[in-house]
Amino acid sequence: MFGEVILKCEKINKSFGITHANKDVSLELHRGEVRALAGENGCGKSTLLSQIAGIYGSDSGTMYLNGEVYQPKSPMDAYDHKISIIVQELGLIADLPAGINVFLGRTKQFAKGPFISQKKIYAAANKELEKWGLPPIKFRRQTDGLNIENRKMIELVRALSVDPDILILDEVTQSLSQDNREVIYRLLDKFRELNRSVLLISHDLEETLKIADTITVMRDGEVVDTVVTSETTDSALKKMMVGREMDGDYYRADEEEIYEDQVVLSFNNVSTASGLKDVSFEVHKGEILAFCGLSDSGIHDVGQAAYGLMKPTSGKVMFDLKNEEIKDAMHSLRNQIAYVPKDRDREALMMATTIQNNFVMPSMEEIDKIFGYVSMKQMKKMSNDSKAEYNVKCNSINDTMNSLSGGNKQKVNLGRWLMKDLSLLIIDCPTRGVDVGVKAYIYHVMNEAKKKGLTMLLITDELTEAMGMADNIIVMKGGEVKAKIGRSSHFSEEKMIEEMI
Amino acid sequence: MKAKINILDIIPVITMLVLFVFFAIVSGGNTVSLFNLQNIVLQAVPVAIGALGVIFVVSLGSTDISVGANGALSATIAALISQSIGGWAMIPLTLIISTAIGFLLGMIITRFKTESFMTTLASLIALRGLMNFILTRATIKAPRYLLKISTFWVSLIILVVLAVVVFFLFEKTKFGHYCKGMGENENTIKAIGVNTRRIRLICFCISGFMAGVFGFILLGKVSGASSTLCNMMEMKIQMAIFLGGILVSGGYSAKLFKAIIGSLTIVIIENGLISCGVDTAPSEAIEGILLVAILCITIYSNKLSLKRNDLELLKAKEAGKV
Repeated sequence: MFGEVILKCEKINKSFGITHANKDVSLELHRGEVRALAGENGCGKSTLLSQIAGIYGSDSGTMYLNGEVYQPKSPMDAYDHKISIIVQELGLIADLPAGINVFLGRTKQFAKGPFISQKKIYAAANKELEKWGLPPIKFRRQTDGLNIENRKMIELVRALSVDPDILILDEVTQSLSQDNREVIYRLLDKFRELNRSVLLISHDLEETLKIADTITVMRDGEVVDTVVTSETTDSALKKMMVGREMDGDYYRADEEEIYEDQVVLSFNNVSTASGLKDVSFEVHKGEILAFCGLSDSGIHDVGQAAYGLMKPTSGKVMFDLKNEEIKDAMHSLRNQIAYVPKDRDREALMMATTIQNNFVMPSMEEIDKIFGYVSMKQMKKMSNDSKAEYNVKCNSINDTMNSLSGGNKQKVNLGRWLMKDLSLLIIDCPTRGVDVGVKAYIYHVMNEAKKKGLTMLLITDELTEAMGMADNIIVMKGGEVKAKIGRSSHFSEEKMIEEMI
Repeated sequence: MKAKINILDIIPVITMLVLFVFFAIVSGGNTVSLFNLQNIVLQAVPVAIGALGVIFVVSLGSTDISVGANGALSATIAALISQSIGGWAMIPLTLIISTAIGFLLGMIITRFKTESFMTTLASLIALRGLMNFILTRATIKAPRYLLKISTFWVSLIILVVLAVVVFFLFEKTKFGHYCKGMGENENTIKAIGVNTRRIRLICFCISGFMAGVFGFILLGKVSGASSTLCNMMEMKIQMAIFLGGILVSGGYSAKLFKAIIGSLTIVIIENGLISCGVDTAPSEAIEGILLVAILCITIYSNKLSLKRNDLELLKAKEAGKV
């Protein structure tokens, strides 16, 4: 079915201090194969990929590339062996133009004496785009000024620019929206065609099943099994990953729109400088209203505008419960509206301080008694209560946020709002970068909140998530509302993608 | 649950005590005489008052190095005006002018999003220049009663009162939490819905206000304005804050007692060197070298303790799993 073995790992071990990240991991990758690694957070899959890409060394064990012993000393060394990686955390220098980032560390080829020709770099970067059939990127722009999707694409171009035989993608699609994901899928096909190989990790199991040829499941640093995708199912994989039976459905079970008539928030012909055009909608009490669209569709701007973080150039955002216009974000905060941004680590949480500080920050206005006084005792109690309620795994609320895993960070991020008596919750990509277990938990929490009558605006890059949770879905394109689809009309993925593109 | 002890909280206190004992021994007990202890406090008061204001700005991750010039200029102008309308106006006028200067700086920094370091550095030059210009045109004498305010007990009481107010505001209110939160991650506070511009503006106003307070205290001490009024105060205040173990990046490492400890430390060094009979010129050089050494120790030990915390956490996680 595939070509000969290109990469072989034999009994690889890796420890970080006392944590054993990889235990005797063996793996064979063939030419023309797209292999996915699956497993819960912390199962060692990212570590394994990092070792192959030369980011970490191995404690013991050998790797063979094309039959020869392969011991990369650095990512640059791996590049020379035609292996390149795109890591989970963004590895770009923010202050440099995007194009320079593509060839960072390898700019010598563009040198003329002591000077480096930027023109040649941009030309070479554009050539790579053409070669791999990628959408255009503004390479002259400063990297910092590009959004997270474009930055991810720049990393992709950087990885592709070494003409890799093995391309390693660690959680690349999670920060991309549908159109850019399609780009990745096409790229995978191209690799198959060229008889080259891909190793990838995706938290989205459905996606994994769709794009990978074979899947290696890992648990606690060990390989459980390698299966052919066409011969396995979603639930079989989950069972292997977790090591026990999982409940099959984590989305809503019902097939109807369930909410009250009362309008909570409405957009009346809202346009913004960022590109929203004449957006109007209403969200009702107890409704989950989802927003889907491609990367530039403006769905994320809807969230910001609804919370008052972005001022409309025309039109009004109305908080109909009190019949007031939302003027600024403080106004929203005081009206018990919550906003959970997409970029959890950069926009939402304070990573270097304690879990308690993160928990209480959105509730300051409520615990304020007189002259702004906030009681330490009350804050501690609140944090401990919500830590227990939302099942955050940590030693103490005085630990730093950094010490938590991605899933637990997200629990804090959602829990700190849900513990309040909310009138509306605006969530932007709530399950980005969390594993199946936490994902199921978040849907469970959302379901519970909905039953209690909480209204939600769910902005999401994942269609399945919107279809699984929403009463109504609004599909957007180019800043405009394209369609509104109700739950009872049975959502279909094809129909929505059609509206998006 | 055992509360975790933070190295950044202790090292500054230990440093201060070690220096105090060291100078007491080397000077043969000179520094621990009642008179000298009073002197140390008297010298530390203006620095500490300044730190009470600047700590707000530092907690945001910004900085204000214009406070020395601000205090000097506002006290000078206030004294000049009160010469014609009566001495009583001196103190309120100083505070109004210095707060207004803080407000202006805050406006520039929040509206035009300029870097606070550059902005306050530029204004430091401008304010000093303006003061020298005024001094060439007029002789400025402080009102008589100001001399009394600069005495030990009165200035100490002023410090204590201000410290209590600042302690409440900085450590016990939502405003304080928002300030420190902004130092940790400004995006967080913004996304929660807080008007971060306004918070920053208020912080610069507070910083300006405190500059006014030490401005009139120092003017009272010398009883007449000269170009050396409040000289190097901004640097001493910054130094006090960092010596106290507050990180330049701001956030929750900022605590009031650290600023006070830092102010005392810097004065103990100055005072100790002079008491040991070191000449002024070399003593400044020694002071500088000592300060660098202390900063290195503080930061290095903090890094070590962070690493140890990480290791403990790992162990705890492993134990939880098994």
